[in-house]
Amino acid sequence: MSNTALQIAQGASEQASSAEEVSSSVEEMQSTIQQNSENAIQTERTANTAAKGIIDVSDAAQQSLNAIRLIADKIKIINAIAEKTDILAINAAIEAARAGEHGKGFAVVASEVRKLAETSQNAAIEINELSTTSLKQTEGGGRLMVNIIPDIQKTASLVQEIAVTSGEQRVGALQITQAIEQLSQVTQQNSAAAEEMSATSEELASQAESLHKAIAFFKTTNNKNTNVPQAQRKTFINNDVKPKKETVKIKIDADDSGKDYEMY
Amino acid sequence: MPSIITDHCNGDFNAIKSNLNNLITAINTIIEKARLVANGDLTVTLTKRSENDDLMEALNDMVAQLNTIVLQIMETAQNVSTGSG
Repeated sequence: MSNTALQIAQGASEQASSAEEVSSSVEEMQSTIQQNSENAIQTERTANTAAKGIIDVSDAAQQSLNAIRLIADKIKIINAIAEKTDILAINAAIEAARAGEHGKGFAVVASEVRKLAETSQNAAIEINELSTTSLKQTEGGGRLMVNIIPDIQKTASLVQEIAVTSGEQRVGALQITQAIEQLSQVTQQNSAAAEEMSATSEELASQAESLHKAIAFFKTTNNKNTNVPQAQRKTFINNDVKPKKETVKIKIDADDSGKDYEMY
Repeated sequence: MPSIITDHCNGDFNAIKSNLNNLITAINTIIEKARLVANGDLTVTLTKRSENDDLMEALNDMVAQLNTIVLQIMETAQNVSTGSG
């Protein structure tokens, strides 16, 4: 029983050290989970900010698109003006030719005006082309931005789920820690109980030993206890005390005449 | 116990004397055996002097029972000692 108690105590000690190791591991895990949770929350915030930014960019693209359309309209007006200026210049040239010698200077002016009109027409056409290209590009960019928004929103919700899961993990880790604490307490109780058991069994062994010694006083017919020498046996009776040896002398033959007795 | 009566007696007195002496001897034997038992010797055997010797039978039973009990106690102590070791 003493050996068993010793083994139990040893086991309890091993359990305690294991529990300590597990406890420290869980604590590490807990801090990691905490870090994860914080990171997830921060990522969620960043994702939300990014989503808002992209919405803003999308709005800006829409506005820019409108502005480009407006520019295209204005360019059309410029183009029309240039065309009309061209016609006016041609008319002016014809009028100048009809005026003959007096119209020579005016003809030069008309020719210059016609050149300017052509130049502005060309510029208008170029601007129109550019604005068309820009319109297409802005439309494409806006579409891309609009497509990205749901992805980012999905990311934000996923990150939120991660944060929630991290919270659950933290609760789980806390429960594990509590369970390990309880286990540690039980282990300590076991250890104390085993120690007590060990002491009790040692006491029991010594009691049994003294009982054995006490009972060895008896010499039994079954010679199991012959290994205890006779000299070790206690003696209850002091043999030196001799029984009283009072000699009772009955004076039977004091008077042998028999006269006091009736004979049968 | 008184010692054996050695005085000379006649007739019935002599019979009484010898009977008393028998009793004294018997009691002395019992005392001797009881003393052995008191000193822990349970190997003592007390022989019945006749069929009606209840005293010797009772003493013999007592010693036998003591012997059994002592053996049981020794075995139990041994078991406890082994179990608690």
